[in-house]
Amino acid sequence: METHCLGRFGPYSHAIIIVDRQVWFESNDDGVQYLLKRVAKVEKMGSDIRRLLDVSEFEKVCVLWHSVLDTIYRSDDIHRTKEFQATSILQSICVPLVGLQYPALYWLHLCYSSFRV
Amino acid sequence: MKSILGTIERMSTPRRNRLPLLEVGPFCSELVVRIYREFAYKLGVDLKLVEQAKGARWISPNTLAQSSLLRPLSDIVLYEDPALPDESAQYVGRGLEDQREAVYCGALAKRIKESRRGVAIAKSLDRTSRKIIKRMAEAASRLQRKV
Repeated sequence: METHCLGRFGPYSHAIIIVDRQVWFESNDDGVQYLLKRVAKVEKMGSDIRRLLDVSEFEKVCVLWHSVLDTIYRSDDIHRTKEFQATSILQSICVPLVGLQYPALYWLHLCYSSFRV
Repeated sequence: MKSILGTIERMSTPRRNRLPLLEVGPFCSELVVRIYREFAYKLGVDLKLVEQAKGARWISPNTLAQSSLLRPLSDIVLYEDPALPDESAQYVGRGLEDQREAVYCGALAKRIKESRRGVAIAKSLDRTSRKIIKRMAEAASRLQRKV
């Protein structure tokens, strides 16, 4: 989950689902769509390889993780199949939503009003 | 800013036009919550994102950020070291990235084409519903006159 700054009721104003490291899914002003992130730079620090994505369009970024996902997404080979299945399920949920429009500003206004109460 | 624009739109748009006629999707955080709920249901796991039972529409990005059920992965957000050279050529398959982008763009174009058909149907339905409302209003005024 990716968020960036400027919100009135906290530091974040946007949330994104990270389907895969480079495949994000979001609902923005252009509608519901995938956001494909390319590797901007690869840094090699000894044996450690860091694949960096450019997130400079966000003022503040926070990646949130649910503990339940620990059982699914593990780095060992035994859990690769499980991870692949989970990603496939996530994709099957995301794909039908692609192309939906962002809610009218009127509805957004109502949503903000409710937070104020 | 969106809130201000929403207020302006609310004041300027006639009530009948406020109804969502197009295929309206969710807000950003609403999308996240809905997808995770569906994901948890399909996986058969308890994947509650926030402590309180709230509708997806009423959960903001900040609610998610403040949730005790989610932990921030601080080691994921890194800063570039300008002193280190870019090793992309050795470790990143640009061809694969291009291929993946083409697949996703294709899927997106197909879906948008489908949703445009949906919009056309929604518009024709709107004309019909307006006719029905007009007839109902006429019938109501006739009844009032009789009374």
